[in-house]
Amino acid sequence: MNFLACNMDLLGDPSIVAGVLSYSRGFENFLSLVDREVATLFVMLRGNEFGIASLVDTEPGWDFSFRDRPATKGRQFVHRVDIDDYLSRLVSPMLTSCMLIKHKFPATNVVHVMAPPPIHSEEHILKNPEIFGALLLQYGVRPFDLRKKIYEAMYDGLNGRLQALGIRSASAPPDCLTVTGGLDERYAHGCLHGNEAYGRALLGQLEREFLHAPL
Amino acid sequence: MHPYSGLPPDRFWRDGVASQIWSDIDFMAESKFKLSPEERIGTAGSCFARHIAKNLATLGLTHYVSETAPHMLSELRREELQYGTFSARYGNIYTARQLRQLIEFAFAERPACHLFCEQENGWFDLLRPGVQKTGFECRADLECDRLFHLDRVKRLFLDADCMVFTLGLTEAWVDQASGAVFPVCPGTLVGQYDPSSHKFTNFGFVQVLDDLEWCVEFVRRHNPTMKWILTVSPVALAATATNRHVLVANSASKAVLRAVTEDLCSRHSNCEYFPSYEICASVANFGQFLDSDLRNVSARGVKLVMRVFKRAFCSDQPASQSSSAKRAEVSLEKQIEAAARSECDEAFNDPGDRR
Repeated sequence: MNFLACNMDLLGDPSIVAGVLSYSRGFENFLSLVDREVATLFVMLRGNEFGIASLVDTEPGWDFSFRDRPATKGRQFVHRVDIDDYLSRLVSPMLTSCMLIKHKFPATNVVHVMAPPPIHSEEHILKNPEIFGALLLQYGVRPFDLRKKIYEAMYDGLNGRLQALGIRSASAPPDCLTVTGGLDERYAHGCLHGNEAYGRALLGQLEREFLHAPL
Repeated sequence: MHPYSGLPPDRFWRDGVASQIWSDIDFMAESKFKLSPEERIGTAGSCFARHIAKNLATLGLTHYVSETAPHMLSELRREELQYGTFSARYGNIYTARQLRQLIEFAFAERPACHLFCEQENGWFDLLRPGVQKTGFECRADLECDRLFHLDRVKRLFLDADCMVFTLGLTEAWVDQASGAVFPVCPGTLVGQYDPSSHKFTNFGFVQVLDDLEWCVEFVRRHNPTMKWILTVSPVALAATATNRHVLVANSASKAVLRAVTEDLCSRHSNCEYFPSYEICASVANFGQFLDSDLRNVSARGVKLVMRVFKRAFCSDQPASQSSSAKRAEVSLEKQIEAAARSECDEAFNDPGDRR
């Protein structure tokens, strides 16, 4: 397996304007470094959309109903249609990045690797706040249930649209999760990421599910 | 010499009205209090009250909105869901009884009551039919929204420095079981009218005064310095459920409301009457501020009302920069976004957890 990585700023925010996919020269140059004949391409770009949407609570705190999990009474109710609209805007750069990659590598099996699910333990998050420390102190960590709803709603929308483009999505290894479906803190790095153990588990899963997995 | 000798010109119809250009009339030469840009001004009332809410900022005043929109909503969506139309998303409050009941619910002074109906296209809050016109997907969502709303209403009355309340109607429909008053008759906007459950009432002077006075006294116990500006909507009744001509019913209704505000304001130093009704609906202005339906107030009329409001309640002192300028506060979402971007760049430089 080979890896290619870059700073996010290089890629910019690809977008679709009037039906035309527009992207930066930096992104194009980055993709030009990938072997054209590659069989499978795992895309782990971006993924910080979840952090932006989910980690820090707001004042007032909001919530929404998702599947069989109703909005929490006491929090500000937001309609599902507004959540979907918001999350759709949030993941748009991720979607368009994958669209561009699929366009540039039409014969390649493109797999979008989902960000790890939210870390269950609030205590762990507060002990490892990374750059969100001041914000978390001021506003608090969003309740886990809500972070999970945001995660699932976000990827529900994104993965469905990716599937329509022929792009599959790879989720987190089940062994790294708690019974509630959150990221077990033993596999967490900081407040949003998976650690090395998570990475090893994820790689193993990708190899098992997708066999050849360069870049 | 007699009591009328030496009175200022505005005490006389000939000088104060007949010889004046209407827009030059100083309808309110004095007021009990002035409003400052720092004060949080709440708004509620009938449809006319929306004009006041919308125009406070143009006067350099602060419209206090306790129920703000979630950040992700667009401007259009916020408007659709009535965020910012008034201080909280109660929709139009037409009667004093409605205001009283809202405060009672917010402060748990009466048992919680969710009056709703399930229709083909969703669940609807019969006590706030206008704020969610497309309905809720389920009852739980409706109740969640309502509970949060009532919490914000409570916060409004605890924190506001002044409340501008526009009385609109004396007629209302009451739910027999709970005694709750609907803003509109079930079946007109949403729901279904049921003569066995829904009773018509036309509140009289004593009832309206009692309800409004209760509101003033109750809020005074929790927020002793809050002032009230009471006004009567000049917009005529759209329809009457009495057995009289709508024009006659309207006249009676407005007379009751006007008398109530006069009585209340004469006895409470923190209550001031503002004459929007006189400005727009007085026969002496030849109906020049009526829209073509002879019912609603024209934009010109609203403009004059706000001009008089400013003269009456805004001091001549220029607002201090810190109070009149909107604080350029970076939204939480922007802060998080900036943190996430920089965090990801920094994290990339970290080879990762070595555990």
